[in-house]
Amino acid sequence: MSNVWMIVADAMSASNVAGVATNADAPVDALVFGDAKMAEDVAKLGVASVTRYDVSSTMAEAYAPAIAQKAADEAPAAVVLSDNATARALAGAIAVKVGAAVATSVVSLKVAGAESTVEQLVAEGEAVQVLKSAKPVVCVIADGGPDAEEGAAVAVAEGAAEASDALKVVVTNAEGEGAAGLLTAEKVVGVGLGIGGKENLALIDDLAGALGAAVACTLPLCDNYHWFEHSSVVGTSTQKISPRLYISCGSSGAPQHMAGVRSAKVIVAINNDPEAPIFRECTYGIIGDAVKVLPVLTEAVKSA
Amino acid sequence: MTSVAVFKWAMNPHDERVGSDGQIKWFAERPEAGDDDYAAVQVAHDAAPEAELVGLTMASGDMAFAAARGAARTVAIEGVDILAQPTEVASALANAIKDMGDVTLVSIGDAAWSPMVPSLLAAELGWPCVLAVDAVRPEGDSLVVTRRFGAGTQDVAVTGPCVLAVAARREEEQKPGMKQVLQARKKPVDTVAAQIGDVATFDASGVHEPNAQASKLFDGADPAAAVAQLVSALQSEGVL
Repeated sequence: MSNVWMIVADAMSASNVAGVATNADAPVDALVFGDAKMAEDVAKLGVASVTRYDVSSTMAEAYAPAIAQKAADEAPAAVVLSDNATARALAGAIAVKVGAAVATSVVSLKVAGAESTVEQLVAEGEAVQVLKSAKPVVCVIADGGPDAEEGAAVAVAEGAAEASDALKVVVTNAEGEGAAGLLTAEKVVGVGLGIGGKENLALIDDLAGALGAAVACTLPLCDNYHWFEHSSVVGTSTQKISPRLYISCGSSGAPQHMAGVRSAKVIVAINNDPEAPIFRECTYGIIGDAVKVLPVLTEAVKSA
Repeated sequence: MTSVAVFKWAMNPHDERVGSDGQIKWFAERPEAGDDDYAAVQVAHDAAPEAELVGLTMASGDMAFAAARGAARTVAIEGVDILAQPTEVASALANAIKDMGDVTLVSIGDAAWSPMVPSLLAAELGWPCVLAVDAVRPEGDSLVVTRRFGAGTQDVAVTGPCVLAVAARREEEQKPGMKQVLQARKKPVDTVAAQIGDVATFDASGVHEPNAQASKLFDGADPAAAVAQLVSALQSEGVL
């Protein structure tokens, strides 16, 4: 039976990638491009093997030709990854090298003999399209998929690959604390245009304070209103977060914004428009004026 | 030496719908400009200010997008189906670029609409690629590319030809005016037939509804009652 590869280049999406890969009915080999802690965490996700590639002194993309050759040698039936930029760079090289079909927004994969069956979200999540291929497949998973079940850890092997000379890291620049805090926060309160006036931002801060949460915003509140720094924006063109709880206040749920928060375990929406798209994507919602709901919610959280 | 900026190459998923017969349909006939396309043109120019800048598109209709932003000419690929898969799109782009000859840099939007095409394009060309690019500057014989990296950024030195996938951080602040657009429409546009190699594709075998993930909604007309229900639910989820 051919194996399935999963490529992990960020800790945030590893469990979701494994959630698709380990349900493919084939042994899963994980290729981790990152630190030892990330590899050890992946080793608990039900995979058959983990190989870690050290990227502390080079960039993972420089390994792309070598990893593509490894794929040609080992012939995995499928390669599963998140839409992390580094993972995509590696997967593109693999796909062309092995002649794979490529699908995005994938929610499930099954490998049976020489044929792979892939289900992908289409029409902005309104439907699932079933795809089949008798060739290798590369699958970029949809955001917000199920986590993999944790089990006994397998050993982590250290991988060796020749890095291309064409790509060299010059310097890595950490950004402001806001972005770092959002990426690791367990709880995040998000705010959109529906909050009304700037004076209502105090209600957001109060709820975030009661929850011990970080605060995020939609792009217009940064770009058009300048109420927030760019490091607070979540969405397609900024950053993606995966807190356990995301409370969205006054956001309609534009695709650009939802792409950044869809990996949250629980999404709560507070919006006075019952037709707002976010009510189709949230776990829980309150249809009401955020300005009236927020003080009540803050007090309830303090009492909980 | 030529730099290529790819624009209007991806279909907007907003135009994809499920028809009454249950089949997937597109309510648009051609790719449209993505949020990152203007930044891709800018990066192509910044990478090699002295090089000829060529716009490359799969669109029909108005093709002055890159020309209005500084491209000397535009190449339009004709004949790529709107249902083309990422491998086919990348192949068509790569073959058009190979036919141009002296290309040393390709800049393309790092589009959420079709996130695998840039790296597939790079692999088809046999070039390295950097995704999530913010900016670029020439430095000696190399390019220094600034890309998003975790919560910050990373500067990467790139030697030789490469594909840069650019992710715009914000909307274009100064769009070309009518005068620039009208002048751009006078610049040459070469239409070439799509050449799609023998690439792997999926066969679509059906469409079904997604697993129901019903949102639980509370009526906020009574904020206290709605909040009480929400807090109880969040405690049950173990997130409060």
